[in-house]
Amino acid sequence: MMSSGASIQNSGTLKLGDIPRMRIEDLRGFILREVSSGSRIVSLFGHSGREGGTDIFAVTAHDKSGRLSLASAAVKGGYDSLTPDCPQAELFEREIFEEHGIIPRGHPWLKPVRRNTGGGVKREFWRVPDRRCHEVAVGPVHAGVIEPGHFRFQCLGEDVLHLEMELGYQHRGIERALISAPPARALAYMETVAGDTSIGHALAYCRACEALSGMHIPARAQCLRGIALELERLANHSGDLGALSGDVAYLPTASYCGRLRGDFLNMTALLCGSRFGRSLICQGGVNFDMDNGLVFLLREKLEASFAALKGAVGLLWVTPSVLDRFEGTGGLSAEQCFALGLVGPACRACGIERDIRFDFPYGIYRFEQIPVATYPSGDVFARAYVRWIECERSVDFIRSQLESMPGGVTLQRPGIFAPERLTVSLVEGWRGEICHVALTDSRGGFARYKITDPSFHNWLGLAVAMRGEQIFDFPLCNKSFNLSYCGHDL
Amino acid sequence: MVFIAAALLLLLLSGLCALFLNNRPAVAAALCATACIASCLAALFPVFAVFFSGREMSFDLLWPAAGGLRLFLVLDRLSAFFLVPVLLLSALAALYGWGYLRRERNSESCGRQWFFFNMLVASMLAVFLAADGLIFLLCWEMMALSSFFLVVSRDEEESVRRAGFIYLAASHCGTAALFVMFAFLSAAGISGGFWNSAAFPGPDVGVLRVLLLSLGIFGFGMKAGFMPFHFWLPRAHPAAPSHVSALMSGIMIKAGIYGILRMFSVAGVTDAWCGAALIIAGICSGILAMLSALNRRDTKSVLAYSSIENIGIICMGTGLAVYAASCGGTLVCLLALSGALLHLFNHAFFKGLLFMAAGAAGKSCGSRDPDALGGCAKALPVTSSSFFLGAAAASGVPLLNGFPGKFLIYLAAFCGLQLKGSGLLLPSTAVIVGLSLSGCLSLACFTGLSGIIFLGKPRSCAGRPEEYSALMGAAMISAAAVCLFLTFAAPLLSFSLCGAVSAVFASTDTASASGLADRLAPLSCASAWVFVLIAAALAAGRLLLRRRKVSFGETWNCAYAAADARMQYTSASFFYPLSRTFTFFNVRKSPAAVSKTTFFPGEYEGYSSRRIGVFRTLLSGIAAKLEFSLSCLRWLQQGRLHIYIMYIMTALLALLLWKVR
Amino acid sequence: MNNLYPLFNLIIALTAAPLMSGVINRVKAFFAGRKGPPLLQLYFDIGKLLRKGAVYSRTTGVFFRLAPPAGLVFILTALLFIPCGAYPAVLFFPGDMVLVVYLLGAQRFCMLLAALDTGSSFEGMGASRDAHFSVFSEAVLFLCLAAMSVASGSVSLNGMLFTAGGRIWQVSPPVLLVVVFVLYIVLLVENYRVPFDDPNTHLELTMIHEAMALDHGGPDIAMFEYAAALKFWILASLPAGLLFPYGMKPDFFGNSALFLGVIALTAALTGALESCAARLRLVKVPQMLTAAAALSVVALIFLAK
Repeated sequence: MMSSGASIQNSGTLKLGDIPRMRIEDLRGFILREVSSGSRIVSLFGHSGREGGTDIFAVTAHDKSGRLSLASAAVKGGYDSLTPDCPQAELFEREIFEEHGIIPRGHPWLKPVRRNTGGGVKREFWRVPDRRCHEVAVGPVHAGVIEPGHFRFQCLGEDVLHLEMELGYQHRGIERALISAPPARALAYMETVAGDTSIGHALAYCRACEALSGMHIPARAQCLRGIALELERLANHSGDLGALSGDVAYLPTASYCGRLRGDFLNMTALLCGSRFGRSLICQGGVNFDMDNGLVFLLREKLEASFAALKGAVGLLWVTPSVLDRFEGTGGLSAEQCFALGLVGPACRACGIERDIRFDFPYGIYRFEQIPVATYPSGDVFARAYVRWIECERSVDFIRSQLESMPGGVTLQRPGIFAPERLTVSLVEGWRGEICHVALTDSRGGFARYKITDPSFHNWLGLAVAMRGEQIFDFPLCNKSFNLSYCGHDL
Repeated sequence: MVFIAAALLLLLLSGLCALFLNNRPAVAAALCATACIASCLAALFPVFAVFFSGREMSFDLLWPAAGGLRLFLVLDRLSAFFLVPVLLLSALAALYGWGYLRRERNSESCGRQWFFFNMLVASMLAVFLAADGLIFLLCWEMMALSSFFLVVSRDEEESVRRAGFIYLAASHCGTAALFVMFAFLSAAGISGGFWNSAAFPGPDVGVLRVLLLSLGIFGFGMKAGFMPFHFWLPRAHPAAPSHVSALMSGIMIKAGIYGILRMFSVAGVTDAWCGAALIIAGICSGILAMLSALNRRDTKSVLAYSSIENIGIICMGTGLAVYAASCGGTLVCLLALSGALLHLFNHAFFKGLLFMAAGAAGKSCGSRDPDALGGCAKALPVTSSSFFLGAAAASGVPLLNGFPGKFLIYLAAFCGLQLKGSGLLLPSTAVIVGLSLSGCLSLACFTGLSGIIFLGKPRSCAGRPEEYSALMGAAMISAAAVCLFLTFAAPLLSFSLCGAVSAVFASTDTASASGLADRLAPLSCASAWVFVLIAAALAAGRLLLRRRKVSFGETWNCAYAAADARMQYTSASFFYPLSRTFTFFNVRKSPAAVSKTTFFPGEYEGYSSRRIGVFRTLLSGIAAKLEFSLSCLRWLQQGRLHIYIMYIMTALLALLLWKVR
Repeated sequence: MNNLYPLFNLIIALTAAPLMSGVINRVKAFFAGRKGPPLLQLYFDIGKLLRKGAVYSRTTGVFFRLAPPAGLVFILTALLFIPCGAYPAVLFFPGDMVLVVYLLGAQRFCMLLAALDTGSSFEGMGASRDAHFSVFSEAVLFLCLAAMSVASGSVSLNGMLFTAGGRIWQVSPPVLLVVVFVLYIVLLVENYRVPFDDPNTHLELTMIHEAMALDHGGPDIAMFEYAAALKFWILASLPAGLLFPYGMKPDFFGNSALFLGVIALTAALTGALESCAARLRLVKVPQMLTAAAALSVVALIFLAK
């Protein structure tokens, strides 16, 4: 009998007892079947469950039909690795191996994800077995104000034969800090899962909590959450576009976008007093409301900044020297993108429609749909251009929200979590799909809280995109993905 | 000439002794090396006398018992100019070889090697003196054979045997052409003293003259090793022991240039096509050889290619001189040829130095692959500084002796540009482009090569290398000193340079010597000035830091603490972008090591750069055609000895019948 | 007194060269809508660096210490042969342009070896790239010099620029403009400016010139920077010398001011160009330089006609 998973809504809940528990071979079959039918792995994690074993939970998403499936299996010791048949499971399996010591047999590149040693295996890099090739070790300290991470290139001359990342420098143990009872600082932790995605992660967390406590959020709060999320997207996308042009030494866009990113951040600050939207979103709604004056001011600032952004970014698409650098650099095909299970703009730049706001709409996006922005070429240009289209659409969205903002309260008293539940909360952050999975124990505290940042899906995409490229183009490719180190490291 | 005769005798005698001292390698080495050094120093007396005074010496002995062999040796200014580097470098190479062969495991061949080494020196000495066609060819052949035996001294290796075979074949093709040329010349009624005769067919005898000149350029070019006659050189030179490579690259290939110059001195320079051919060959050698050098994985092979490049530069100068002489640019001609000769003179020393240092590094570290070495500069101070000096000279750094010769050729080309309407515009431009491209390529090549061999961190962990032998060190230090001296002494050479030039082109007079010195003097002054200033700047830097905090740490590697030797550029990586740019010539394809469809490491397809091998393709095509067309004669080849003897008898009989007819 | 003028000009070059970096940065800041660093920033930097101590890598040896002063000396020596507007160079002799180009090459030799001395992959990367592009830029520079030599009938820099005194333009002005353009390209590539290198980048993987200075510190880096400024002056002097308005016959101070102005204009042009063009892909740099070489060959043929 083919075992099938339970289906669940985005931020729906499921009793733990209703989740199908299979044998690990069946779970493997379930995942492979789902993936081959067009689904992808959203989250795959272990949970040290009852009677000492490890339960593995798999969440898959079928974007076309908007179906989330869920299944679990108990495993002891090891199992046959999924990765050879389903590359997108690679990092998840390594993570399970690191945290629970479960060995995925036949995993092509098994080593710990975040720690130097885990499961008795030391992290080592693959080396090209050729004396003529050299290695370039970049990081953990990078030029510029960016996060720590180590990149190891195998090169011959300028050509990159292979790239491997070593992250984990930012590991803080956030998931573990949430276990048992939600601490008073839980929201603050969430806002710093990835500092540039404060709103995205806070939103995903609050939605998970609200689902577990069965709350309904007032419409005005939904609307404000949407505005904040899109402002975050605007700020980061415009910053990225500026950084991309800075990486090709194209100054006009670089310097203007640097300033405009600040403008968008300041708009968030108008909402809540924090440029990164700290403390704006909370369980039960939002902490800050807007009066009419603020709405007017925000609209005015938005129009002004967007006009400037249009001018600055528009230069990129008409300057031949910039296009020459962007086009054909760091290309990924749609097949590779499917296989690797990429998310966010990096995925949409391969021509694949994959956007949580559209596929698994939540909150305000149930009422106001944002069309998915895609571009088929898969290169740096596509990733830049998709960002630009998203900027345009975000501005449209914010405009219309500001025009027809629903009235009412913005905050509700939080409730208590239902026991023995599981919820999956997906949010489309600016970098892509943020997935939070929460399991509650019998007393209504978190038994397991699993965060999957979009970076976790996408790092391998960057490595693959760099193969055969020039090492000179790495900063450009890296910036076009602009992945999070701390979001990956947790 | 007594000194020279004594030197030749001493060389031959000591060589013969060495043959009998096969079981006492140390004695053989000491005997032969000292004999070689002594005879070279002895021969230097007359050579220097001619070099500085310009008066010719000659030695003429008709030997009826040897079938009318005429032992006619002339030491004129051109010979003297070539003989100075021959003798100096031979002495240094002998000293070096003494240390190099001392710890050779295969000691049985030691006596043999020394015999052939001394034979090589003696034959080179004689080649540059021989004024009679037969003697010249005899010495030429002896030079080729003795160097062949030296090339195959490590004949247990397949690649060495193959290199030796190719060398022998190429060398004999050249000699065959020369033989035909000399036969034509003597058929024209001049036997003996052919260098001075006016027997060369004049410009009015068009076809024969073109044929003879072509034969000469082919025959001598085969020895000189400029393109397209270079194919044996990068195989043979690295295969030989380093002191022999130094001699072969430093001097022996110059015999080809010497021959060409002698030929022009006899034939007169009225043929612009010869100049054009030499310029084209020179430019091709200069650029393509350096491009080939970039992909080598053997230091000595890179040096061999660099020799082709330098021969190319000399060819460019010679070609420009011939071209200019044929269209009346006397000054251009003088500058170009003296540039070529000066570069030839200087190249002998810096290339000798480079080969010695490369050999020493190879012996000390156990490998000649730059990508296996690295970081031995501190452990090998003498070797590394010698190599750096040689590399700087080969890159044309104005502080060293690789620059003045190139400078004169540049100057000649720039002067040629000024002669409007003389037809010199195109050759001059071509020479400027060729020189600058080959110069930059060699700068790139030698900085990369020397940096990767000697700087950075050691790539293999075979322990700290040590200097191999003090004798080798002494030889390298002396060669380096000669290189440094020649930087400043370039103006002093101008008299002999002009003498040598006037031996080729009778039109130039000795009055231009002072003009040449004037042109070279600023360079020497600039070098001296730069040396002084660098010393001053270094002292100033030290002074600045005297009371400051100077600390030591690790190389910055983005705070990655576990950086190892693999995290530095290899020579393959260093040159890969450059050779990729010249894909049309060098690298055909470079498959990605890890393809984009398999995501995880583990499958490495190998990253090969295939060479097209223009010449190999061409030659194998011709060979295939020949094989096909000659296959109809295969029935002649029976594989039985008596049938072959019958063929010989038949041929002899036929000849006899033809003669008595 | 007249014999001392070239020396005064040399002093002006030595003192004013670092100013050009300030000019470029100010122009770039203007285009970016910023105020930008002070014009004298490089002087401040050099002053500060000269007062610092040094940190050396244990991997490095002699070359690492030798390269900054030796490189500076090579550049200083080359500067002696550069005429300054309507006044001759300090030194000149037939063929001095060859020496100048080879002195620049010698400086490169030192820098490359110092870079390899550190055993760092970044410095090796910079060295490899520099070696790669210099092959083309030097050949192009020689072609330009050949064209100038043909147009002026002289075989020394002094003769081409000072003695010819603008007569060089009588042959064929449009063709000579092409030469000026190509010289400007050489200026950009040899001084590691956009579109060939990005002097502002902080990313080691994309650097050329800066990568080779990653491990230097204190007085060494001051010498590096100063040598780079002088190199800019030298290479800017060639197009500036061609474009110099000789007809104005200025007095000594006027001449110096004019020459400084022309070079500052070149710098400002560089700043403007850097503000409106992106950097080339590395693989396209040789193509661009080959195109420049083709242009200069065409110019040479027209000039010699």
